[in-house]
Amino acid sequence: MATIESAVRAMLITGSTLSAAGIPDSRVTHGYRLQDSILPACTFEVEPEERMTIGANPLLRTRVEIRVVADRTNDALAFRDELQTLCVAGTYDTYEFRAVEWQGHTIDPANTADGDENQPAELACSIEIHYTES
Amino acid sequence: MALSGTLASISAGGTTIAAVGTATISINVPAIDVTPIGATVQNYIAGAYGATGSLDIFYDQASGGHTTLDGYAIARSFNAWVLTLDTNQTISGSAVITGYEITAQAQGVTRATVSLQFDGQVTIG
Repeated sequence: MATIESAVRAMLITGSTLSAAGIPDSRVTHGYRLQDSILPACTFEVEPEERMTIGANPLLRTRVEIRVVADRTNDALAFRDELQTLCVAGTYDTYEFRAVEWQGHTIDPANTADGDENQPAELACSIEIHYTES
Repeated sequence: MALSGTLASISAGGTTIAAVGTATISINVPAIDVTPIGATVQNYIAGAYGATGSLDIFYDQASGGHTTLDGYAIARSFNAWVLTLDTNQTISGSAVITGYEITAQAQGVTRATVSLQFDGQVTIG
């Protein structure tokens, strides 16, 4: 069964663009990544949808945050352009994304965390999607 | 009882308009002051009623009915408008498009606001 989460993941792994850049499809996951998994990795979270139009197949809107975790700041930032290229209108897992609005990014640099462990850098990108479920 | 907008629709000239965010029909009855000079309380009678309407749509010429609206706006024609609710209750009348504002936002979706002036009677139910 298609869901907005499966559709967003389908968008992110389209054409193996991220895979070719260093994040295999298996490291694109919803919500979280295993702490001991290999970097870089990509996770995403989807906010509750909002109904935008009346009718039987309504236009819905949701906001998605996509995160890339990498060892260094530059390694994480290197995926920004790929993500922006991937986040476009289209049909993914039967969901029709009518408009995908890129809303910018923030970067948390790599630094030393508690216990002198090295904390990886995290690129967080926000997008807004207007979509229909079929 | 509150009604879901899931199955509601609005049509113009028999064509259902797709991607409608909100549809509003307002019936306006002016209150005419007939208070006599020297009276201590105000008196009113109801004037003739009229109706206006508005639509907010996510504008896309590929969406159903949007090119129909384009045509009606340019033609300045009166057409039959019908707002149908979930319960199959309807509000209908003949209206002309008096305002048609298409707004494109940077990186956002394109919206249009349609303003309507109804002519004559509006039928409810």
